[in-house]
Amino acid sequence: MRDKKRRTGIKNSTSDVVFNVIIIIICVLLVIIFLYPLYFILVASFSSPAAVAKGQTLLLPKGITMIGYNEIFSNKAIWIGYRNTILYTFGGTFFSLLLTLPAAYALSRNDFAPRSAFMLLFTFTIFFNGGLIPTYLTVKGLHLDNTIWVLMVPFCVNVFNLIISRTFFQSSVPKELLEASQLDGCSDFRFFIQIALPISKALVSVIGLYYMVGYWNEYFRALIYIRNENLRPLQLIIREILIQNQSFGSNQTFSSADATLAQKQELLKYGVIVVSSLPMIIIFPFVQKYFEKGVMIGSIKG
Amino acid sequence: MRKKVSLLLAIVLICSCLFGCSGSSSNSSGQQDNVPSEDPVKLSAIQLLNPVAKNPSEMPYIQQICADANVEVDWTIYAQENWLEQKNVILASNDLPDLFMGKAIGASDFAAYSSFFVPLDDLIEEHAPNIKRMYDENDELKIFATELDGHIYGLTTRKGLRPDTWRKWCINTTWLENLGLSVPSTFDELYDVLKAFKEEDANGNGDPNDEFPMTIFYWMDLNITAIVGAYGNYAEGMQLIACKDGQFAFIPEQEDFRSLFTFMNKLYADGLLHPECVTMDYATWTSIARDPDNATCGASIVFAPNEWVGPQWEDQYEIIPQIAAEPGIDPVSSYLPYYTLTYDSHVAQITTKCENPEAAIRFLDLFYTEDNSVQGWFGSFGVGVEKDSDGNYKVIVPNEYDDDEWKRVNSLCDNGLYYISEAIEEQIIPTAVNAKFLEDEEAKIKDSQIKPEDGNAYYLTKLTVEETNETAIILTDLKNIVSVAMAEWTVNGVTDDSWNQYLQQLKTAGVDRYLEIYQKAYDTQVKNR
Amino acid sequence: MKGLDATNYGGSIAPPHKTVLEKVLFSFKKHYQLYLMILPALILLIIFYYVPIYGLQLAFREYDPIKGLTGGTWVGLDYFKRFVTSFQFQELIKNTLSISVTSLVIGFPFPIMLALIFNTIRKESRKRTLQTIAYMPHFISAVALVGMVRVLLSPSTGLWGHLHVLLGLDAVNLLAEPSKFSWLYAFTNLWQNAGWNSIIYVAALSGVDVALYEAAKVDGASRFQQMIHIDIPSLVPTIVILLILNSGFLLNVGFETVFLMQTSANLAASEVISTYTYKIGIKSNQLSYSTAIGLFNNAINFVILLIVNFISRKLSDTSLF
Repeated sequence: MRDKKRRTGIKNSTSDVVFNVIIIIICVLLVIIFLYPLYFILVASFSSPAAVAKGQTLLLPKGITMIGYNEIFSNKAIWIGYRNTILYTFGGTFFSLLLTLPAAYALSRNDFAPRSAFMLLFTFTIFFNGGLIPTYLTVKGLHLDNTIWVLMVPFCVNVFNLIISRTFFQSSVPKELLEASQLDGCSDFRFFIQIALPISKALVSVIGLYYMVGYWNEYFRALIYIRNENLRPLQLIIREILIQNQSFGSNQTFSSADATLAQKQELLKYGVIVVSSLPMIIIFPFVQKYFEKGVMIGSIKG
Repeated sequence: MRKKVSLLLAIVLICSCLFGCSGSSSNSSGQQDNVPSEDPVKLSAIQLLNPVAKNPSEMPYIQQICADANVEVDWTIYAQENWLEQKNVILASNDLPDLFMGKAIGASDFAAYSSFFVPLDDLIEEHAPNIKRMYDENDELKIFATELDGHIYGLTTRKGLRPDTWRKWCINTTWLENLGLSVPSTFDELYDVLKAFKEEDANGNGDPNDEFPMTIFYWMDLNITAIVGAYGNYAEGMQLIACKDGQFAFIPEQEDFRSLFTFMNKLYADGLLHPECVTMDYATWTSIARDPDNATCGASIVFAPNEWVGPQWEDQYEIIPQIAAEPGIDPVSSYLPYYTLTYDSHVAQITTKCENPEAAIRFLDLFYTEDNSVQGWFGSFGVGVEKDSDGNYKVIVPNEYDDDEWKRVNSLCDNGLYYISEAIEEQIIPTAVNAKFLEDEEAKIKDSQIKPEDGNAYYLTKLTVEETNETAIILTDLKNIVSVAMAEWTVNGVTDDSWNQYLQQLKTAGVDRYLEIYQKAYDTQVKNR
Repeated sequence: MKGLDATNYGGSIAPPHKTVLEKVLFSFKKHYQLYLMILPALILLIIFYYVPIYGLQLAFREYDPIKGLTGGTWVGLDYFKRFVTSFQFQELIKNTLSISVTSLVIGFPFPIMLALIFNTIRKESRKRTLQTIAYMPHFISAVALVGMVRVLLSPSTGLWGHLHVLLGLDAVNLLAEPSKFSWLYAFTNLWQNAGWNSIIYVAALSGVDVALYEAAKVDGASRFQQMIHIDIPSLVPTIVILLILNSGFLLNVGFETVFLMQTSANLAASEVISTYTYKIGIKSNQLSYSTAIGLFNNAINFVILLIVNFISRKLSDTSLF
């Protein structure tokens, strides 16, 4: 729509042409820089580990072997992992957005007097943490450990995301809009739900994406709080597959079995990336369309 | 109908008889005291295990032990890596099981959490004949197991058919043959051999440039200290500390250490040491040696050749005797049975939460019978080992498995409980690979091993909790200093200035205090024995 | 409801003096819905973050497992003193700061530039593809990332080595050089996270009113000028907030990647607070000591954050609080 206007309207100046060329060159470079190592990982996931270590797989695979993928997919637990992680990701993101967005909105309101005090309260928790053990004891005291809720609720508010959301609301919800609606007798709640949120589709999708990826990659909390085999998320199972093929590390009895397993682990650590990250990569384009230009058309015209 | 019922009844009666009768297997020694025939005692256990292993409840010898001890064990299995992160959480939140097994609680963990564990001496005396026998027959092992307060809290083990030296020189003997060279026994000879490896076509593939004469990885273990025995004074000490004639010394501050790195620098400068030694990790070190097309590495220091080069090339490599720095010096090798080679400590403990410690110790004791000890290392009868009519134990490994891996699938292995005495060792017929490994050590290394008293000094010396904490921190700092210096000297050589500065750093980091703590503890404890 | 708020009047009548309590109640009555909107998040944080804070006392007590986290003997600042006077302290602080400042300087501008570049691409499919490619590296685990770095940077067999051979130069072993470690870490981190971090800026740019671009074009602005005068200013609030937040993490170099990239040769530059705490704490069970080090670390971070926030508030309108 804009393109047509350009072609029939204003001519490209030379500086624009130069600009375009530079952009294209940069983009090509970026593609190479980002894509090559990813390609390397893909190739390494089914090449012989010895060849990989010796730099013989820089362009093409060598010593093709599917042992890594066999190992991963023959482990039945991996499907349990996928199932659980999907639950935790969508459930967790739901809770996260439910709690984070309203709070961020409230904090973005200049007429909300205690907002600095609350911000301090929230930010403080990023820096000062009681530590793993007291937190564990608290969760355990509430009987949340080893349940499906522990990975979705207690830690669903990420203050970092809260702060980013607040910034967004501050800069993209125009004051005039708020005042106009207040004149109409609109309550804070209604304003938030009917006006602020729809304007902020880009924010919601970005923060939603951040949370989703966070839940998808969650490993450590699962390790500490989940004992039940059926509740394990994908990352935990993947790490177990990796560990199953890992020697005990230094200062233990190295044996030939340990070292052969270490070789398999080299293979697996690349394979698991492909297996565990593919879904998130596929999701991205669907989320990305929400932060395209022109989302805010029609809110305020002069 | 009545006939069927009485038939069924008969079968049930017969079965229960058989069940009751087929109780204990042949435990020639260590008859248990009367095991009450009530409901099995329930015990919970946290067991550290190699990830390839089956669940203990699926291992026949363990099923038998549970039945004999009349216990039902609820096993929670952890892999080493996961355990490290969860350990503190479980311990600090007082979430204790009845038993910790498999070295879940090591010596330093015990020091931090000692109040959670039950002293075992009386229990052993009254209910554990096999464990009692182990300590009666081995004074030193009893010392190893006893804490400073005079009690035993963690059970120890003795493995069978194990080497006593940790790392040894390993060289590609096929290459030596190809080039008409003999096994080097001094640094100068080693230098010449490595030079030949580099310049000539040692692996016979027509390319004289694709051989790496020597590869070592410098990370984590500081295993390079295994070479320092070349000077005839100190052998590899796993915590950088060694004892000679009752005196503790810090290996990296000796003149020998400096001389060693002058030599390493020479190798590096002349391209005889892989240039990435100072940065490579364990995985890279093994990968380089396992090239699928050719053998590419000449020499290194290893625990076993196949650990390094893998099954494909292991026939080309052999362990060789410790190399001397100069002709006329008698080099020394380490002697480390107490560093998990033969003996292990704190393999299992009973916690204060256990309501029936008598049942627990009876259960643990059954692992120590002769048969169960052998099965505990190699695998159950019929699976990992077989007992023949002469009472010999023959190790069995199916063809498609590596023997190290097979025993780890079928037994608790490194994480198990057993007492394989010297007498029993004689009755074990190992696999060919294992036999050769032991013969090699016997023939080539044994003569250069340091005195057992010196080798064991560090491990038999106990420290208090405060001393353990203090040395832990000092050692972390010392290891950092030594690692950095080793890399620097290999690449750039040792100068007087850098050596003196290094010594100064060690002093500031507390090396004297480190030695003082051990020396004092050792002197006191040796005197009291 | 408009109420009798003093601001509605022209200021001719002096507003009645309110006590703090009255102010609070007034605010609550007026904005009770906003309070309700914050409440769930606040409750969650109180339960799961503020309640466990009692565990920080471990830094001031000698840990005794029987007496629990709060029962050990009080030793005050002993552990802190031990850390600050310890052999490693200066090196740890120096390394941590060096690595994180370098990462910040290198890593902060790139996502912004990437977002600006993405914004200029008109064809949606191309834009989407490029963004996806840029964002994929974020998913690579530290273990695989460092493994790959080691292989690619090998001076003998890696891409690094081959490139040098092509150019006729000698390749340096980057993993062996202490002086190069910060750069190595910064660039690795950049590669992994630039695309991911650019997402937030792309989203911010998407909110820019299209009319602004139209107007600028009519005024004869080149695309480059549009970028400078429209895109960048619209990103300023986001940039400032992120900069403040990042400054609060200066002493927080993450553990995994650094630990995996440590080698004997670069250890003098690669031992940071988090790796040292790991070696002391997890491996040697020094719970109190490692808690003290962590607390020390975080306290300094927080102070830095407050300072940067203050500066930002004075210089611009944007600040955290």
